[in-house]
Amino acid sequence: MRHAKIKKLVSEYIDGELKNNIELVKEHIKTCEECAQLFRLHSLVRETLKENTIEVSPYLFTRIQAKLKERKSQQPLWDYIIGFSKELAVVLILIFMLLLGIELISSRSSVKIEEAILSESPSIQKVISSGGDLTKDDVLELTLSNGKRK
Amino acid sequence: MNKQFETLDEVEIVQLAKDGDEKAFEFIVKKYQNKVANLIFKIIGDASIVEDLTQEVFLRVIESLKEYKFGSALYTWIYRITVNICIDEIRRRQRSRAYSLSDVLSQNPKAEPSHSHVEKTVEQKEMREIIEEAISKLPPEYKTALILREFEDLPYEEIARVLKIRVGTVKSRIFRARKLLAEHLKEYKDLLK
Ligand SMILES: [Zn+2]
Repeated sequence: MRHAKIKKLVSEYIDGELKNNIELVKEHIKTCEECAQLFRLHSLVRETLKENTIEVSPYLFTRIQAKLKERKSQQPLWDYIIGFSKELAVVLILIFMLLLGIELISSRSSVKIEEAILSESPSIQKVISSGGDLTKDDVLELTLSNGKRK
Repeated sequence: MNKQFETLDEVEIVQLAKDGDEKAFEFIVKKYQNKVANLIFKIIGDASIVEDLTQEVFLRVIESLKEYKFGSALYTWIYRITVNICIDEIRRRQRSRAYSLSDVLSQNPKAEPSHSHVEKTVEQKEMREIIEEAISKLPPEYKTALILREFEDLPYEEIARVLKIRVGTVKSRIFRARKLLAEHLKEYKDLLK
């Protein structure tokens, strides 16, 4: 293989990531100055990077803690609400369902009263239209007609 | 470091930190703080900003710990946050440098970079300085991949996870980084002999 084709493999070989053609690359590096330079460059870069390292101050964590507290106290109410958005949504749905339930029950009972007044119980209509002024015969008639309906 | 955590599995420690255990978070910070700091130092190349950025990394770690799903190793996840913060910082610096350079050029139109090419010998500069300077000139994406390989000794697959790119892309970024370095270093003709 010529240099142009092999040079991409050299980088992989350097990193120990090459799975095939290892012998071929090894042989090529021995005879190709440019690829041999890539190998030396790798050693130099590695040495340089590892040579000069730093250590953080022992107070780093304390500073992080302080910063965290500061950020939490600055957090606006809206962030707090958004943080609980899921719970808030569940509560809102529950309230909505509860209101809907109450509305349904109350509308159903009002229908019952209406029905009773208009069609189901003519006796009640009679009582209303009479204005409460019923004779003994009327009462007897109403009692009998109600008994028949049952 | 807190002895209570030394016997625990990292997954258990992270779970404790997720549940708001401050000691567990402290353990994580102290375990990785120097690794994070050095990665920042190598990528940015400026020691004066390392402490602040390391702090920023761990603030982001604690704030997004809820999203950590244990799918990748904790250090992979922390390194990803570190690299993202570094790249943001590099871009921020590039923008401000672009402004200041254009300011200089508008004030003094003659101040253009010279194109004279004088070959320097290694004696003129410390070897380490030369290499560091050459690394600093690399595009951030290439530089990061190279540093994760040469400094952190991560295999290509781990680098791919940290950078969220394909292994093939890692391979080519590292190869291109080396090619560019070799070009930058050409003027120091005896360096690679
Ligand atoms: Zn070659």
